[in-house]
Amino acid sequence: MGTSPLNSRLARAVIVAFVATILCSGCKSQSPELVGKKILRMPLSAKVGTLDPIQGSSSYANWAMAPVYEPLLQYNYIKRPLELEPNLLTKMPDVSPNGLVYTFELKPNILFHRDPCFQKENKDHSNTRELTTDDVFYSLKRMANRTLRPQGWWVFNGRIKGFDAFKEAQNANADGFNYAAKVSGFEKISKYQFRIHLTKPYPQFLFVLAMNYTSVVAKEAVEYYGDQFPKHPIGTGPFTLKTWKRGSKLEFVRNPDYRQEFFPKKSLITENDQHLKLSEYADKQIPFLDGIIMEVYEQVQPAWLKWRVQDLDFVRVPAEFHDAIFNKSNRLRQKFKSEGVEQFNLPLLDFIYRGFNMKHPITGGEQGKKIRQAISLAMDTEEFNDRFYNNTCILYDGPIPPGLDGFEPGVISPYRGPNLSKARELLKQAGYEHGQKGGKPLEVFFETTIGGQNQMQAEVFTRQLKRIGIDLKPNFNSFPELLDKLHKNKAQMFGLAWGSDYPDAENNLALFYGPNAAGGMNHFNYSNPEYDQLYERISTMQPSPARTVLYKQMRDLIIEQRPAIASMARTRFYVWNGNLKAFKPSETWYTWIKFLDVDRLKP
Amino acid sequence: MNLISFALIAGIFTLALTTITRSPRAWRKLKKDRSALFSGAVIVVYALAAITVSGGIIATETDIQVGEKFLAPCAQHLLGTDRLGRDIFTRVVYANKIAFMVGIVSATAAVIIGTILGGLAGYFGGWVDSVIVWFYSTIQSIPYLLLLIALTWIAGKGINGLYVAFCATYWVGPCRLIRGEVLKLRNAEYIQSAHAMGMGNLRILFRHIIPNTLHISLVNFALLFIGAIKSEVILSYLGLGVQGEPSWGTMIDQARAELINGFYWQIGGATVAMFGLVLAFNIFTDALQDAFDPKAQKP
Amino acid sequence: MIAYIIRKLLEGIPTVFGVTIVTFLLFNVFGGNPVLQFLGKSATNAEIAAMEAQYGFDRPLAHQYVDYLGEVITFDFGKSFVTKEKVLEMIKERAIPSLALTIPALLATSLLSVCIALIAAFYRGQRTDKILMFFAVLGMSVSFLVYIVVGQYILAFRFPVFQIHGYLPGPQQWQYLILPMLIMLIVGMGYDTRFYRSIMVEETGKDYVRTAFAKGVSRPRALFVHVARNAMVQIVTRIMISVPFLVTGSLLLESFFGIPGMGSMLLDALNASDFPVIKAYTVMISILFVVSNLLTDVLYAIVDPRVRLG
Repeated sequence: MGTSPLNSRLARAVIVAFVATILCSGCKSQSPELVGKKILRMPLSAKVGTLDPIQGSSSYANWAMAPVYEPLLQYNYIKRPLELEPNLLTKMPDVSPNGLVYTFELKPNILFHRDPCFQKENKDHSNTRELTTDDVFYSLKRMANRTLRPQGWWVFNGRIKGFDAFKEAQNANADGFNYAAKVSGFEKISKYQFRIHLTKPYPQFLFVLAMNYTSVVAKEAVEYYGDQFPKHPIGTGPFTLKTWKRGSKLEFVRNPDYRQEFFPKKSLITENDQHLKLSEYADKQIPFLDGIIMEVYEQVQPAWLKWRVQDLDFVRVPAEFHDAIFNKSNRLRQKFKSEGVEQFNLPLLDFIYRGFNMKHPITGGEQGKKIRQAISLAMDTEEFNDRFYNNTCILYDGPIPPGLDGFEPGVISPYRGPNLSKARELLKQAGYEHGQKGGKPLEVFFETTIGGQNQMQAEVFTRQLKRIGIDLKPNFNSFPELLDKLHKNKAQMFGLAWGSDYPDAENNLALFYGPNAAGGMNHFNYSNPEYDQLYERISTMQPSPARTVLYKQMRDLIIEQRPAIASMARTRFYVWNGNLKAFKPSETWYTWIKFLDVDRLKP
Repeated sequence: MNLISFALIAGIFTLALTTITRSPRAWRKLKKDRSALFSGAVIVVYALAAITVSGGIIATETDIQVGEKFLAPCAQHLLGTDRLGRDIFTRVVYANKIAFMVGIVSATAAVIIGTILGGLAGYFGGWVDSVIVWFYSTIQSIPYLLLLIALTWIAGKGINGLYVAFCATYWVGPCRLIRGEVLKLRNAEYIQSAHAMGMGNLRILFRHIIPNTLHISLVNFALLFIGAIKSEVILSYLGLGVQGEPSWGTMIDQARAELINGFYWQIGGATVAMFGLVLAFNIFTDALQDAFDPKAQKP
Repeated sequence: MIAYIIRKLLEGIPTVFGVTIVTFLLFNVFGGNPVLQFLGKSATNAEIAAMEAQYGFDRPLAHQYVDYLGEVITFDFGKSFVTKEKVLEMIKERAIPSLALTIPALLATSLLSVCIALIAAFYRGQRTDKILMFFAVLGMSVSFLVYIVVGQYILAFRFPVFQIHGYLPGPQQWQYLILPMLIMLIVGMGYDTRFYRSIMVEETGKDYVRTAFAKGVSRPRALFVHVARNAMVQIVTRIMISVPFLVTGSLLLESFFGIPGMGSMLLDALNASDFPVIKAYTVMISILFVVSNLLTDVLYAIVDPRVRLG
């Protein structure tokens, strides 16, 4: 019996420990630094791989860099439609009458985050430094360095004098990429003033300077951290990164050296924003928060539950939950309203489409036009909208989403489905009576991505096309697999979405520009001399009614040719608990996170 | 495909019956075990349902909209409707056929490969044995999920990918066991006398040794069948499961966020249906094992 | 003994070698192209070709394989394509949360399973045994995904006993790990209990136990002292064999409970074709398999003198 007392003692200890564990697990704990502070807690629905501005193209990467990095320009937090305003600049840049020369003036005394990387270079060994013209040029030049895997070169491709030549020369430079080499279009006037010379007018240039890609970084930090720089963001933003547990959590704390910046003026706040209670913050100095915690939630359920127990300050409402949260007019149900939940419905500059590879022998080119039109007519986008988006999408035709010049609510293409008899007729004209040729049904291979509701969407799509005899074969890919197929021209038909990078339809129209094909952003391999000519014209035109006319012409070419069908724009539904304040979200830019406040201290 | 799955189901049952009746002692023991008989009956009901679906008699239309979305269970729709307004009960029944197809095809192929390789390794020994043992230790040492994912990439997603991935990973278990059993049997007296009679090696192996290992194959078949059905859920979650047709895995996966809103019927229906089959198989396999080899350890 | 261990280790080399061949074929020949992930949506084919050359993907496959073998031998897998961190550092960082979840879960599962198995074996054939075994089978018959979804909803939200989701490095993380551990426990217990019960039932039938009975040793004592001690070898063996699985982590649990572990690292690496991570991961796991098999053999030899190492 020698062992049994030990066994029972052990067993008792285990039981006690287990019970104690269960009882205690209800209590919460935070990093001690954050106790008693104003901390925003928000979810990211995918992991962030990099915090280097030139690499981050996903919206999650943009969220995660917003507290730290700043581009030269930003949008006004309150105004809609979005309007640019200076951020690191004293005023909006001066543009020469020919639209080729932009003159900038930086705000003085913008300091980089305190970091040891500055100590070596600084004569007084201080651990910060003022942002100057050289930093802006350095940051832009990094976008040309291929080894850094920049994602955003396309915004400057062929636009700035001498920049393309610089890119080619330095990438081929046997001694390594030399940032000191000259770019003729970058002209330094002084520590704070500089000019950028363009090769041709670029009306979207200022939008580009509000994108995260063009955020200003410090050379010392890049060199000090080397290939670990994407893990050590050193910017000028209102917060600094405190910890980053990769794949799980980012913690930011307030930057004590942040310059004086203010919430937008009271006069800008309109009736529409009454419910957001922004006016109490007008003209106040920002930031209000002491810190931000971003946590990665890959699954919908835990994020939602965490928000419900107020461990997250806001969430986007997943489509699955829409009906349980909102009534038919997309307003919160009474149950949530009485709990103090607030909402913001954000229409996105969104282009969800199903596209064709125009080089495909059957469904591509001129020979496939009638088939494409027939597929478009067989599709019932209303059903998709109803089943998967709770009727919250705006259906439209062509590539220009609602909210941008060139969009007209009334325009409905003659190929908007469902019109089965017309679809069958067109299919017959294309040689496929009842969807068959020589006794074989027309097979269309449709590439889409794994995840979300894509499988169910593909089921509905298959069923819709079956009605005219077309046999749709869906294929589910990981995102890199899908990109691979697009780049290698292996896709016949594909489903994708494009969120506009800036509020100008030029961004979407570029998707169909011939020279962007062959593995570029023109996944459709659409090539139409008439369209290309129009694109070249509009690419240098400032916004004007004349330009809008051309936009519409281009839109109508796409509607007729049907390289992309079934356009939809989603609305994003943000909900938050009453203690999140001054919240007016946008998904075109993200540095607005600095304007937020929470009315709750961490226990 | 329907015909093949029908033939496979029928074939497996015949094989199972012959294997069981080969050993009168096991058969007698099994006959007395009431829970085994009951679970066997449950399996037969599921199998009949699968065959009926294969024959296009029931659950023919799984993809049509029959009513509003998210209808609660009622007399007309026993398990309510999903977010596309489709009848969940019909889909659960149809998915049973998919489960049988995935389970039977993968488990049959894996057991056949495993039996042949295990038999060869155990009987011939020497370099044949070394190569086969090396091969299965290699497969075993690669993380299971990584192998499954990589194989579905290569074999293509969907049900065929599942067959390939499961088969390529599942043969290892039966192979090891059969090898061990053949090692024991090859020195038995009756085999020695067969040698003396001048019988060929392969003939001895496949006519006289392998038939005596069938009960191991049968038990392994049942275990792998369960394994395939359960793994299908995980692969569906990764987007690598059955596509274009309802399966329990995709149904559970698609409903994984619906529970919070109180729509429990899809996840519940698929789970309960799967639970019934897996439970019956588990109990039946136990009884089989007990009947043939009471001392064997259960995995 | 030492000669035996060395021989066994050498025998493991062909296995690891086999693993390198299979993974190389799977990923370099059939897998996706990592370069596309680096370059993003606006890459041109010329840029893709340039980067492929930079990473050496355009070289002959045999050449690439030899380089890979070199990495295995020097145990230096370089840096991740995606994070640019040293792969071994990444694995170390990700292994900690995984192990923090799986080790206690394994220990708890084994301890509880052995206890229940003892009880079941004690009452062999009686109602208690049947009920316990039925519950074990019941537990095995529900899908893992359902346990997670339902467990999280009910035990962390409806009745907020546990944390919903999250991870804190350091000792504070335990509060987030209990629920996933509990789920692992419930899933694992069915299998383990049945396994251990059958071991004990088998031991009970052996001669020494009969002798003990014959000598008048009480039934509980025979079972808990003699049988448990002798079954210990097989129990420890089973635990040993699961060691590699401790490191692979649990993809689903990590994803639902926000644990930055090995499972999610592997899935990210697969989705991004991050070859250095995939290679290091598979080689490490295969070495663990070899070593844990070896340890099992050695353990057998130590505990059971009848097994001769030869």
